[in-house]
Amino acid sequence: MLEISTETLENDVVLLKVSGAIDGSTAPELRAAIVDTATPHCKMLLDMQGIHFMSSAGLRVMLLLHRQLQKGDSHVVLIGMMEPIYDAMEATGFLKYFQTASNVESGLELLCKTSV
Amino acid sequence: MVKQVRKLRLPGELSQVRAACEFIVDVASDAGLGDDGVFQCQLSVEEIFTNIVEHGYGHDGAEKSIELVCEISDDLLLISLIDEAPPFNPLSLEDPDPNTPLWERDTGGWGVYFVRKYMDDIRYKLENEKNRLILEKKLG
Repeated sequence: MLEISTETLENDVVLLKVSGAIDGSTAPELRAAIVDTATPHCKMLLDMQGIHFMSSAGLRVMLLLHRQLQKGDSHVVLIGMMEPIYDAMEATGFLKYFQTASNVESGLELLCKTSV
Repeated sequence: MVKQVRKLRLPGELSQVRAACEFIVDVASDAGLGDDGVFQCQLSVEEIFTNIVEHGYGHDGAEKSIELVCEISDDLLLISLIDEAPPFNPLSLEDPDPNTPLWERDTGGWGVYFVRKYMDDIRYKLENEKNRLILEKKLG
């Protein structure tokens, strides 16, 4: 099960909040949400604090997210990944292409610094 | 000596991934693995289950099954995934390279990479015309 919500914060930052599991059966929902949200020139926080499981289906969504953001000169910060998910992102070499923060406040700060 | 055997047979559909995950989390916790070990077993089973549904059965496995057989002994958890798709050994796949830049990457291959990384041993057998992948996780 995967719950997804979006919210617009200060300076047009979009907060995409997900919780549950990102696996083969739920990844398509996240993919659809990212396609809708990661528009050109957007600033996004992907809040993963509520994600307790992510498989390679999630990595494929991350790849899509990265490509979509690159294309549109957009920025994302991944928020609050749990340790095993962080480790998996690191082992597969995905982490070096993403900025991360431990909570929404520090993510906002990072986003405002990099996208000015 | 095997202390406990637990089995679950599921239809080969993506909607069953969650049931497979819940089962394996339960078994791995009962076997005495900590949070990391449980996560690693769940990840490995999810990856193989999803591969069978998508590639083995080509999203047409509702009438076919995937069987999970778990054997717990003093120092070992053995997890078998048995399917009736055409013979295929996932260990024949080459691992992707974590150093490949993201923009040059293909989308696949990371599932089996995780299984290799997180399990202590993996064996493939063709048994009674069924694929059997045995994942071995050391306990303690």
